[in-house]
Amino acid sequence: MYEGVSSPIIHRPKTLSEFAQTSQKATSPLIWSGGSSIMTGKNTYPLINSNFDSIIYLGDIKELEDFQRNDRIAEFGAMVNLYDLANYGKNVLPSILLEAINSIGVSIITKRATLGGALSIVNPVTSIVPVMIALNASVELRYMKKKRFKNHWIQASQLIDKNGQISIPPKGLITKVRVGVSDMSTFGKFLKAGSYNRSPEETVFGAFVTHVNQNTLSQAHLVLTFPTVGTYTSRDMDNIFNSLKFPIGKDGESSLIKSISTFIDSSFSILPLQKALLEGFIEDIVGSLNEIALTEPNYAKGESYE
Amino acid sequence: MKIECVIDGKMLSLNLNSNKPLSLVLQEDLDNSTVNAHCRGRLCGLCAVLMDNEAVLSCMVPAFELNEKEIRTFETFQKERSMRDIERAYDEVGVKPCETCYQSRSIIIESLSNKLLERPNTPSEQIISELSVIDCSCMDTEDMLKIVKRVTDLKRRRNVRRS
Repeated sequence: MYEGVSSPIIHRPKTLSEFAQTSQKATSPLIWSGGSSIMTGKNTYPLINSNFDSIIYLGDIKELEDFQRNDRIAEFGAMVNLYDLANYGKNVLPSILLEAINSIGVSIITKRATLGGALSIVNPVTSIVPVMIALNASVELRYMKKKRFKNHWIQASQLIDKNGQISIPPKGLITKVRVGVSDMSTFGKFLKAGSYNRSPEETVFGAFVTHVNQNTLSQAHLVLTFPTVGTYTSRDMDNIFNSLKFPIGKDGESSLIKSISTFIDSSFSILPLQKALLEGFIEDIVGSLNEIALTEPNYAKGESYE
Repeated sequence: MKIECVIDGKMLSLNLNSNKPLSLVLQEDLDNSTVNAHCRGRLCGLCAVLMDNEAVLSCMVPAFELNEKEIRTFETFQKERSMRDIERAYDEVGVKPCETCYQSRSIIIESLSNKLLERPNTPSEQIISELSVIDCSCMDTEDMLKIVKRVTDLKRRRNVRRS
């Protein structure tokens, strides 16, 4: 129907150095790692008023499909698909990451979606982003600077700019992702509320990770993502959790919800439905932490908080 | 862009827009009436085809990825023995998918039963969740599970007889 109107040039580099050469030559490329991003985007087919004229497909770069692990960390290439990630990492990855992967969809979808792609999609943001930030994952970012390719390991949280948007340098690429393996003393909670595919503007993703020491928390990290608005994370919000002593009552819970809502309102304007979903998530976290504070887990039997 | 692939057993050389979704290639360029949905990747699940013997949603596959791939749509799949097994299972369980999702559901059942042959210990919950990719409520989950298990059973028996 639209044949010959505007067909983007397809580049299929086989190595990262080939990718570097290709991206230098291409004027405004779309870097595609799989998944459905170019199929769901507006103006992608037929290509009218779009801001890219070529597609660089990363599926042929074998270097991006590596997976290795040791006692402390697991390192994945950006082109490892989410299905393989959930399967191979079943016993080592934190349960909230596995929950986030399963929340994306069934195998027919996760086999096509890749880790790098899930971290790079700007609008709407996927559920992998808040989880990776909450887990303090690091990513290897390869980008062009003064006509040369540089690579840096950065924290996943540094992918988010001050407006809560994912910001990767133009022609930049996530090549590897490193995440700590599952730890028994870590408590994690993941939230996916709403339908990401059908109404991303009403969806909320949340990830909460903390170390529980009897009735107090340390290194608490709450990350909230509103797929079409942005990702919110703040040290002040985390410090509120770190200063709490569990169990907390209804009053403590409502003042916690109120302060988190104030933080969110100061940065984003979200729908009342999203606010209600967020409150439910905080209540869920508090309920679980209260339960933990009132029951002593038996580490000898291998019980964990996850 | 020139693309060479095998679609429904025919070796084709197509001149297509490189980012045209497979669902539209089938509908517009090949007049395939068995793929009749194009939801622009919103995952309605009604455009499933088999790519290299594995079910994919055709609205998620861009044309440039088709090079040297083998695609089977319901048009040829309905004439295969596997489809007769699926129809037999529908009759035995006593339910059939509605007209809207019949093609897509049958292809996903085929893909799932092949997976179950390789991994017989796949938990039932996982099978049910895999079947939930189709956005149509015409069938009960318990019935769908029975159908997948029955199809797998029929295939396994045939494989035993062959060996």
